[in-house]
Amino acid sequence: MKRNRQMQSVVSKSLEETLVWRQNQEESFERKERELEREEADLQEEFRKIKEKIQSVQNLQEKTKNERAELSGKELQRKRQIIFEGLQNENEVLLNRSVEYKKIEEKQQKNLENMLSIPEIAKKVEEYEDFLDKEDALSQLPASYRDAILAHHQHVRKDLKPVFDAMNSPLPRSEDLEPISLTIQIFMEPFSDEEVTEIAVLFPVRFERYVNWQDDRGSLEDLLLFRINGLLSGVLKKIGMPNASIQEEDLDGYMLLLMDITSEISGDVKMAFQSEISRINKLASELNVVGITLEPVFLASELIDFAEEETL
Amino acid sequence: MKYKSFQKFSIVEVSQRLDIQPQQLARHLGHSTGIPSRLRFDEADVEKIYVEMGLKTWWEPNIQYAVQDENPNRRLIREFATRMLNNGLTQPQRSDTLLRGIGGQKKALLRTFLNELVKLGVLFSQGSISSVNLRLEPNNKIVLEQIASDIRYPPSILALWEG
Repeated sequence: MKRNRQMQSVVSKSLEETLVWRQNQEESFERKERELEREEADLQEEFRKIKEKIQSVQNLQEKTKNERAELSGKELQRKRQIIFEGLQNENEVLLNRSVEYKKIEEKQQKNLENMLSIPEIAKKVEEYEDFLDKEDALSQLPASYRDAILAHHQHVRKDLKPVFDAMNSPLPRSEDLEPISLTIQIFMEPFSDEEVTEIAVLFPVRFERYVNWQDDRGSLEDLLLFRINGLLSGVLKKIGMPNASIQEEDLDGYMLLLMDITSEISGDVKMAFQSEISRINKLASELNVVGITLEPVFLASELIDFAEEETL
Repeated sequence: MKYKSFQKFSIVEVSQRLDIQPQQLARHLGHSTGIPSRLRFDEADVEKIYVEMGLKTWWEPNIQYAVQDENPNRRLIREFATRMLNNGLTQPQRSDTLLRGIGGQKKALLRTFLNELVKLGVLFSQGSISSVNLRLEPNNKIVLEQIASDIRYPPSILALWEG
């Protein structure tokens, strides 16, 4: 055992040191591995956050895309809102100005009746009408007698000129009313340079006026309804469809006139409308006296086509 | 207005005098001379429109029957059938012309009769700018001839007086 107490050999010592080294290394690697694990965990966390961000951006992209896809529908809704609010507002204008128009018309009628109530004029009018009643029998009278009657009639007619002028004079323009434009909405399908297959016209007159037209109010609504009907037949003539029929429809309480396009149109639909509307603006006395002009607006038929959406 | 020279008619009054709808008047004017500046019409305007529109009055105030029949409704329908055959319905005519001048229940009966003739294919109906036009289908003229001559009636026509 003495030998055992001898100094530790280099080999043995080195072997022991190797154990220490190993342990140290183990510890070092252990630390390193923990460190790397932490680093990986940190990166994983960062990665998770980035993935979340990517998902969030992707969601936003999808949402934006969807919102963009809904733009056409929203535009349609906005336009429809404008159309129907516009009809309501413009109809109110028409009703208000109709009151003014009636006043102007009644004033002119009253003036005429006042003139006709003057005995001297009334006598001449009676003479004038008496002549008209007997005019057909004049040819059977002797020439000299006939000529004398005709000469007298001419004289009476000349005396009555102020009365005829009063009856035929244009109605005076109201100075109190601001000029205002009412919209005539013209819907066409397709809304492009292609051949038009559908035309509809919407304007600020209540459908109820068409139904009850016979009660003869003579209001601006009734007169505008009449003008637009005339306008449409003028347009149809201009585009080479003089015999196309026109249907009346109720669209949300307002007048919609549909033209039955059954054959090829010849001519420019828009120009035909513009020309006819410009004619009304120039000539329509009842609109001119209360400062109303009409303005055509051309729109796509889908704005008033609710059938497709209802079936969805 | 007391004096007829100074009498001006409204759109509705003119339409009623002509026995047409106001929109038909508008469409005729828009198609022909254009709608005037003032929407008031005198007697001469009304006469001019009557001619321009080719309006005719088929029925006189007191109907002068060419047909004799003890049943008043059947007599009226046979009279109408006879007038259709005699008045050249081989060319399209305004449907309102066929009923112009007659009113009340008689008009309603003849309107139903016209509708039945269209359903039976005896009359052909076609829309135009200011009216619905009707014309006789040559192949089915015999149906109308048999009605006029009291020979044979389609059941739907028979029902008009038998109920």
